[in-house]
Amino acid sequence: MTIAILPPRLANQIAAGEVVERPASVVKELVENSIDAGANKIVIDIEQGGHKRIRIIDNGKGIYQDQLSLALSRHATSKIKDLDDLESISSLGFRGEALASISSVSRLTLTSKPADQETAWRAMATGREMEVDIQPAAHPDGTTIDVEDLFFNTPARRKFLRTHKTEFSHIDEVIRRIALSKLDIIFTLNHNGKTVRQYRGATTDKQVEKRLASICSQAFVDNAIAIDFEHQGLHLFGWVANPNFSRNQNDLCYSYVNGRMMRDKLINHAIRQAYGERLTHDSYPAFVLFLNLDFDQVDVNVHPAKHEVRFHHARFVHDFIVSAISQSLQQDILTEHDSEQAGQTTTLDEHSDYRQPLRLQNADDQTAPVTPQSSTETNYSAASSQRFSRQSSSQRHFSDKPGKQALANYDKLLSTDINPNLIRESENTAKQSSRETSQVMPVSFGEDLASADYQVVKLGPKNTAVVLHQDTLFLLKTAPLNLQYQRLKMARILAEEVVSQPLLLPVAINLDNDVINFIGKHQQQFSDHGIELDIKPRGKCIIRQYPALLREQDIQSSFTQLLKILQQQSTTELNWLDCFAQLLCQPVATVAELQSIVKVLHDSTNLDFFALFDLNCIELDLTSYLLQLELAE
Amino acid sequence: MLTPESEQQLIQTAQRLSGITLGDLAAQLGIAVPENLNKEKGWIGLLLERALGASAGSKPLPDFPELGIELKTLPIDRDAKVLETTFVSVAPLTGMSGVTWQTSHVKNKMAKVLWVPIISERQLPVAERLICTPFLWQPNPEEEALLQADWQELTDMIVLGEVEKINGKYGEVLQLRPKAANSKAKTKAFDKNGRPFQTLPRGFYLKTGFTQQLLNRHLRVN
Repeated sequence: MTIAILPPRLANQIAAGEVVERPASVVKELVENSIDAGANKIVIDIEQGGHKRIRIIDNGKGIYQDQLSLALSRHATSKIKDLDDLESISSLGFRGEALASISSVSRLTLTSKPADQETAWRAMATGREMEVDIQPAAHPDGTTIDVEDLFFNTPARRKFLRTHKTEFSHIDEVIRRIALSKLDIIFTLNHNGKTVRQYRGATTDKQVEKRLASICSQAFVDNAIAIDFEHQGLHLFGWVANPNFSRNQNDLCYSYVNGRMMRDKLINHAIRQAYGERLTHDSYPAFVLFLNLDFDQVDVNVHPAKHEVRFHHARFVHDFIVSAISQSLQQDILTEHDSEQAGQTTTLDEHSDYRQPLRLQNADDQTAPVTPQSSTETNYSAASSQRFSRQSSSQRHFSDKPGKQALANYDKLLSTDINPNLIRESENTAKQSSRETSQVMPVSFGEDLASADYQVVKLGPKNTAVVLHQDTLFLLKTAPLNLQYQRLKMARILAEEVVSQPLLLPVAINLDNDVINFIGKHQQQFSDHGIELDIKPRGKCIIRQYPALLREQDIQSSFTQLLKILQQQSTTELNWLDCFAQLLCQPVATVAELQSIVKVLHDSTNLDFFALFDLNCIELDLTSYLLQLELAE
Repeated sequence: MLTPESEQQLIQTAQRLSGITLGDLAAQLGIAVPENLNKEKGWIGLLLERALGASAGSKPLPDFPELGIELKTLPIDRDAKVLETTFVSVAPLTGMSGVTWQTSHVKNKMAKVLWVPIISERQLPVAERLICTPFLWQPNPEEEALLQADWQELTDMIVLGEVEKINGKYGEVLQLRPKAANSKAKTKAFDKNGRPFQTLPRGFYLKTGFTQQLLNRHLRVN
């Protein structure tokens, strides 16, 4: 097998596998393009369920002649320019794949005329390299994309196409979804030359209601509760049906995020949860909901068909939707109850600012002397004017929502990197403090010439070491230096408060009377140095806390030794520093350790190192050895 | 035992208990020691509450409400190895809208804890179990961050309908487990489609690694 770059058509066909699943997905991509182009009138012609032809005619801003060929190439888009744009996508499409993908699996012609271009041009990509052929054409302002023979060159995919009727019903559904999100755009859907759907542009409340009824059924409108909530950058509005109007299928679940239609799990979950027990287990809620939030709060680049999004604050969004909808449903029940009591005489009861169902009054229960027509209109306009005016007051619906601080914490939380080593780290620091007492501070060699003047050559027996100093060898007693070093360290530790550690279980030790008396006399000092103990009758001493710096030592023997050292001290004041230093003093184990001890002592200002060195060493006089060597020659 | 008036007093009283067996303590207080704890799971906790003068009882308050201190026993073995996870609080499966870490039960309960380690090996008769040195703990920033991260993950899963998916593997220091007297006790939750359903009540538990680390840091364990 050799590795080769795929020819453009094949690459596009592969990409098409993700985006172009069936005729309905072609329709979706193309209609979204038309919307992004600012069209307010879109005609969709379908032949044979889209198998034969999908033609989208719009009156959008069009594509200039010199950009037509680019429009058909992959990863070409007018919608984003750099990664920052991807962070804040406001257009529906952005991947720059749709046209190239579709044209790779069909015979696609693109005809377009921007308003300020005199003539229209038609582009078509053909062949393996997808070269674009451009011809002059006749066309009004706008763009027509004609997709014929979808999947003609991908037989495998063609096999998955269903009957014309099924595919058309999918297209119908796509147009329904889009038409709900763009109420002001006129959509005409034709199938095999017959107009099947005609969605008129809706700007007034009455028109909106009609359009909603024509898309979602009149029954939905009758039971719909208009909602409009805004909270901390989230804006949720639309309509939810009261629980009486539940569905056996999830066929009336329309949710949109920033105008983009979604089948998002999180949103559906939140909505279903808000209904809670109000719906039976196997029924589905009906809703048309729009969620708008800052573009940078949501990642739409998750799924090629953009059915799913990722919210940066998923649970916050979820909670917001749950609260908003359950409150609306709750209010609806209350109001219903109230209006029943009031004999249905009023639609403007005290709860009306919470909710206003778009309910057409049935002719037979009409008591007010108004025509059905006008009653509907007042009803609806009340609902929707309130929908737009209430945004400022909607905050109060969320008094139980987290405040700014809480949200900030939530933010912080979401951004916190969880460090799995944290526990281990803190454990280490605890260990380190105790290790410090037994370990020598690391020192880099040769860094300090003065102390390098004393070069440890070798450790000898019985705590001695051979040291080279000014070209002379000395035999050094290491213990005094070591002890001095421990004292220095201890002085630093004792400068702060001694950390005292409670013992898991108190340790009881039996002691002689004079020792007990000794402890009793100095008990406060023991306590000050981290040893908490109780003296019990019959020479029993119970230790409850012990200094952390003696952590590595067995308490019983360490305490006995400590008492011995303290009692032997000739000074009137107990010298705890010296005592701890002695307890912690361990024989020097390596040359490096001794070398660093020498360095520390040498560099110390409150210590006469030269005197200490001179006191504890003898010069190794090699004269006799030299003599022996000379004799041997 | 009178309710302790200060933190210092509580710790002192508590530390006096260390080294005493449960049998001795019960005898001092005139309480009968049960044969085994299968039926009286909370007995050790209640005994210590009595001994230390905790006043809240089963109210949803810290055990020492005036001091804001929660009492927790920690079963360990002779080598100070923690034997069981520690129950923190019941995990609400519904009504979680808008709950944040700052307002959560877990944070509340863990604000300040008096830990009482107890040598509580299974084969050891209840009366012979040994109270070790109690210590007072407040989560440091790292510990709180760990708890918070786990709480956040688990709570998000509950709210988004994935409660059935949660097992012991989720959470680093905090885990969610069924907490029920038996498998018949059920509570309401939401499934992955947002529909209500019945499931076992859950509780938040501290994993043993976490409590072990607390113990090792606060007490000298040989």
